[in-house]
Amino acid sequence: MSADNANAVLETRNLSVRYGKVEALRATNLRLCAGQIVTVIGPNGAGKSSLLNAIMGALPTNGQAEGEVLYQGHDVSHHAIELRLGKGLALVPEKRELFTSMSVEDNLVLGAYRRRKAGWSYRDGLERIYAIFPRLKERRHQLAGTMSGGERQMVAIGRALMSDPKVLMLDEPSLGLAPRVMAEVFHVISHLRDSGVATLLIEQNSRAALQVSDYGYVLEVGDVTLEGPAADLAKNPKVIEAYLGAKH
Amino acid sequence: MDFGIFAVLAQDGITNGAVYALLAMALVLVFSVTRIIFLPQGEFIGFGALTVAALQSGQFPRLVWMLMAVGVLTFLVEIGSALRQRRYKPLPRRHLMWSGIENLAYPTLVWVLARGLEWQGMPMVVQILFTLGITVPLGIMLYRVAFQPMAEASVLVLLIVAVGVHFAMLGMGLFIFGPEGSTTQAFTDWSAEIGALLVSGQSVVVLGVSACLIALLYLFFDRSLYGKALRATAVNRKGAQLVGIGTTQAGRMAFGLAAALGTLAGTLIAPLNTVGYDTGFVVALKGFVAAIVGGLASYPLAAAGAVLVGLLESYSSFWASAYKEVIVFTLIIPVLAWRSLVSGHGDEE
Repeated sequence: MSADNANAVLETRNLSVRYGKVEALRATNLRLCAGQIVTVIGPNGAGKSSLLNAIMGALPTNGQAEGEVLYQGHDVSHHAIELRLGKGLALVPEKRELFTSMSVEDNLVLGAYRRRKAGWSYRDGLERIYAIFPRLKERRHQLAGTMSGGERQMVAIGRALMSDPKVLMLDEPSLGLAPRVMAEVFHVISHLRDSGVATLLIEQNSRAALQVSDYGYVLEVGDVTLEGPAADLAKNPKVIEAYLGAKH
Repeated sequence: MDFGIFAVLAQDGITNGAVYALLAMALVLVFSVTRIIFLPQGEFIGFGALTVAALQSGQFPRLVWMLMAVGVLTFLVEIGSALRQRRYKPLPRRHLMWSGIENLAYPTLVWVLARGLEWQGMPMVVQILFTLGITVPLGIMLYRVAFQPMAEASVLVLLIVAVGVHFAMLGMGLFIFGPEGSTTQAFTDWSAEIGALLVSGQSVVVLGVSACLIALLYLFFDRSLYGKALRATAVNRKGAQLVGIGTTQAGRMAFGLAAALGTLAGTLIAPLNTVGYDTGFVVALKGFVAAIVGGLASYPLAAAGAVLVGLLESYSSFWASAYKEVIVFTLIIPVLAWRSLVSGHGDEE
């Protein structure tokens, strides 16, 4: 992890989030470089989802973000979601937020809604997603709402990838998934690195998250209490005790 | 009642039902995309029909004044919101320039066209298209001025705003059109006798146009990217925002479409009915009853509800003509009872 600013594709400076009088996130600084997977672990209610939503500009209306969100060195913290998406940020939200009564392919196509430029076709974009998730190709005419939990997660990730992001943010991608499906999703995440996408991952399943990540932050009640390379965090006694379980 | 009367009433009911179907679809569209109950829909019926009538009788279409006035208002709102944001970002010059073209230059162009061309003898299709060129931008401006600043408000607050917009437009309508109504020329004098039933060409045109519009809407929602984007917004607002379908853009599209459907519904009824500035409200309310049958969410159910409303109205005007409106609007009570039994609670926001 170099301290060189030019490397960071995404950086937050003193980012804080409050809902009315409740402070959900306090002055958080984190950095993400191209091709890196960075994970944020921490208990429920530590402000992890607020962090991602603030970076994306997708906080609920009663939420208020302060501080800076730097994307490739430029402050985007006052940009609308559409603009951040156009620049290369994408968020897979915790609840997936799929278009359940529409087909898988329509969900994916709408993921590229902001990406209509010359020399780009939906077919190429779709083929790329189908190469990553072959199962989605088999089910492309099925309604998204009738898919299993793991498949829905794949649709959600695929939809986000359709906008060709430089930074992909994943909010609890393993939530509610069977262990085998979870392993599949993590396998895909670890391979996103090869395509140059930087991934910011938020996980309850800290062990799996630290295994695929390069760097990690521990977020507790709105504050970053620990950070370091993922391998070091996984060995840190405090992290083991609190998040990985004693049987490590 | 013999079969002849029965058939005539059925023809009448279905013809009116086709118009209510257009209105019900517009209401479902606007509500599912923006959560706004689009009460000003009725004004588009009346104003649209009056504009076509004015064009046909060689008068100046006075709705253009309203377009210009609301355009100026919209531009001022844009400037105001740009100035309020200047703490964070520079003045969005491009955006303001587009807004100027849309809200100042375009209405002026419409005014020039309305003054400069001889509209009286033109084919009716051209007159209707020109009317749409006035009402659709008007719908989009209304969204910008009244609803966009509070797009995240609750359904109730949005309804209250809609009531306000409805009365404001009604007042403006009385001011520019005056209290008298007018009718437009018939689409056709053709008619045919099938057995005991005299099929009027008017009914055929109304049914045909409505069916075409419904088919076009279906293709739009099923095939085009913009249609899919509108559906996506209706299914999952947060998901739509995350793929970059802005609430504003979806709202503008919904209002533009609703204004167009309202105007077309108005031109469809205008040859048979005297339409005044305030006629549209009751007609749109019947569309609303139909939309309620579809739970403000289902297009096919809303269309079926519209035919039901049309038939009910037609037969009750035969048997109990004094109570015909009462009977139609009372339909809403059993429908709501049925819907609340069937749908249960909780999955609406």
